[in-house]
Amino acid sequence: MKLLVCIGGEVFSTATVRLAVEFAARLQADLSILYVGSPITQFHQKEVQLAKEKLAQWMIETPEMKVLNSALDILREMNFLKLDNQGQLNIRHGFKPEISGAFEFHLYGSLGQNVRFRYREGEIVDNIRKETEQVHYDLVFVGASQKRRLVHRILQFVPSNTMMIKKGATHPEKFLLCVKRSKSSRSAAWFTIQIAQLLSMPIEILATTRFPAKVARLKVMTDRYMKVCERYQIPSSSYVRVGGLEDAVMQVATPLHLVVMGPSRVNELMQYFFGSLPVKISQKVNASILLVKEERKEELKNLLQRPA
Amino acid sequence: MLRTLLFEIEKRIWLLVGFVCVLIIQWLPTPAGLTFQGKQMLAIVFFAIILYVTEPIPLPGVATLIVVLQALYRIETPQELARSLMSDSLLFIISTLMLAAAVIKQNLDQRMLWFLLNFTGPNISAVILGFVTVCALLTSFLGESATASIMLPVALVLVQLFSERSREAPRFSPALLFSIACGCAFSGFGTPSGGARNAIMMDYWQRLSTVRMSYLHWIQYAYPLLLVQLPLLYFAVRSSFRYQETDVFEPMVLLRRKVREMERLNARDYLTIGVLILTILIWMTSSATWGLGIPGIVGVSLMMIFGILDWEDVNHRVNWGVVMLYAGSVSMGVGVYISGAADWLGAWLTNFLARTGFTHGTVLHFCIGLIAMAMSSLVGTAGAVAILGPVVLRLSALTQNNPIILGMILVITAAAANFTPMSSPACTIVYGSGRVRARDYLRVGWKMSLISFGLVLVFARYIWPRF
Repeated sequence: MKLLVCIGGEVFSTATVRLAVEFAARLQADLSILYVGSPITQFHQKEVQLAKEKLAQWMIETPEMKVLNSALDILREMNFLKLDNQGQLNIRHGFKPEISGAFEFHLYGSLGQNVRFRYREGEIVDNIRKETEQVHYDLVFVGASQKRRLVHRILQFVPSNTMMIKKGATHPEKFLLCVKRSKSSRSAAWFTIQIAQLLSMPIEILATTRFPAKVARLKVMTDRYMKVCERYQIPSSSYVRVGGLEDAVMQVATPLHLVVMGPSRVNELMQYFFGSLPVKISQKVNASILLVKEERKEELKNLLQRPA
Repeated sequence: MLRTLLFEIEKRIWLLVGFVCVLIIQWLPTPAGLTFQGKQMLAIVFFAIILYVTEPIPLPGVATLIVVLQALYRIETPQELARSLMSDSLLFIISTLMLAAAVIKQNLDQRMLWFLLNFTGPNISAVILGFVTVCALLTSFLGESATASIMLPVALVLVQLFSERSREAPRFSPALLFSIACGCAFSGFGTPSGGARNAIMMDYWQRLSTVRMSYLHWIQYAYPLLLVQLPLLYFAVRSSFRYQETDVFEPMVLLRRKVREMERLNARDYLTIGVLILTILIWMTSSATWGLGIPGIVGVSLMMIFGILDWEDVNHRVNWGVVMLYAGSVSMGVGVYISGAADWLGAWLTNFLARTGFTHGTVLHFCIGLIAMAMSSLVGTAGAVAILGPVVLRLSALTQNNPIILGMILVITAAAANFTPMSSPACTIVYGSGRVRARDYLRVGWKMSLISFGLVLVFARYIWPRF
């Protein structure tokens, strides 16, 4: 598995990095830490880059090095990095420019995973997209921004599965899986089951309908999901609520939940102008959100159809 | 698919806005006195300004779009258009960027700090004055980005050595760093090689007027102003930051030890300095005959022959995108002149000034300076000179003012609008160190701009008319 954690600003969310490291350690995944520095006008970009190279020659710490060094300290403190007999880091290569379009520092984790510290400049969503275009990441961790528009753009435009970490919800202990009868919902469930098993975290399944007559059908569906969880030895429980998903999540979710959803089925253009359910929920609920975007064919469909 | 499309459209929304503006201007009735081609050219200028400010596409793309639109509107024939893209001034800009790349490549900076400290002594105010002076003088020949790249590590090493001794960040550090930003950003007008805007203005004088300006002639105009401005810049920096008078004696001792450990200047370092001096001498003595581009290329060729500079260095260190943008901007400026847009704008400005009775003297100079500063805040100094140069030359013809004086005012005031970290390369480089705050740029910038602006008005009124 490959995880990407994206940080921005000089004072970044250490909690986001800690959570990503914790996940990467338990999933034994490769971890890339991407720091996106503020954009520099193209008129002076080259000159600034040259000046920074000059500073590096003189061993003077630049702001981006400072940020990445503090992230490195977190990884070291959490024993995520491989050390040699002398207690030195196991480095593949030092800070190098132009590695897949970014400055990169590459070293190894305690279980031999690849750990990359990457630095890019510019607009944050654009850079996450560039990063995910070059390497396939299974999960992208982003700290939830106060800016609604940025949250909206991240959730809509980042093509990988995205976890948005809320400030007061940095230690999720269980998944709150929102399900409905759709392919994307099944993909989200399949992804959740896979990582919940590795992370040993329970799953709470939430299904909603606006029509009371459909409650029984939804109950059957959530039972099937629970049976699949049981097969994978994941503790699970379920809720079926009448009403909108937004309200139901607000009632059920706590800061200890990680709310998992599939992508919105609304047309991209409508989403762009009017937002989507995941965006609204991420704004209103005090819990971190995992938006599963990759469709995993019909793996779970087969499992759900098979009798327990 | 639709998601990617939406994202790409959102990224380039200002490009679409630019095209829409071009179409709207096209559709508007042509004002009296303006030719149809002039109106089309103004639409291109407006389009270019939008793209300069918002940067929705890479900068070379803006240059190519300017050329494409000029060709589509038939402002010039394809042959004339191609010719307008390359000129002596562009060759000069390319050669100065290459020469600066060669100087940055040599590690002359630590020695420079040592010599500077030997000269100024350990008193911190004297060191700051030394930094302002060295930055200003180097910038006037090498350009601001090269100078800032050389001087920034020098200053940061001094700060670092001081911090190691006192275990706290020195309070003089912002003043020292601003001495570099201001010394570089406000002094590029000293010689034609100090910045692309100077070369662009020289190109306009040559192409669009009868003025012939040599390298030495420029220095005659600009250097006295630079020298008068120097101590004032120092006082502006000094008064903007409070710090205790201290000395950097111990860092000097540490530095002396470091410099002694380093290798002595080698043949390549001496050759670099020699070729640079030779090139400047040729510019000073023969630019009237040889122009500015060819002597610059001679210097670059010598550096390549002596193995000081290889193509990889040039590729890595020269911002070719900006060079292309300058070419496109100059071509646009020429288009503004020949399409009649400059005539119309010049006449409009003349009428406006005539109504208030100020077609000569300080008020005219003040107006040009103000417009130049406003435009350079939007599109950068070179862009402002490229756009306003032809208009100012036309204005000088209509009001029978000296085109050299108006051109010099344009160039110097365009470089005086440094209020934000992004306003000039030197300011951005210093800001990139992470040791200065963005709001300090305004705090220091307004004083500097006022000084620079005031001095230009005084020189334009009392000194330059005597030349």
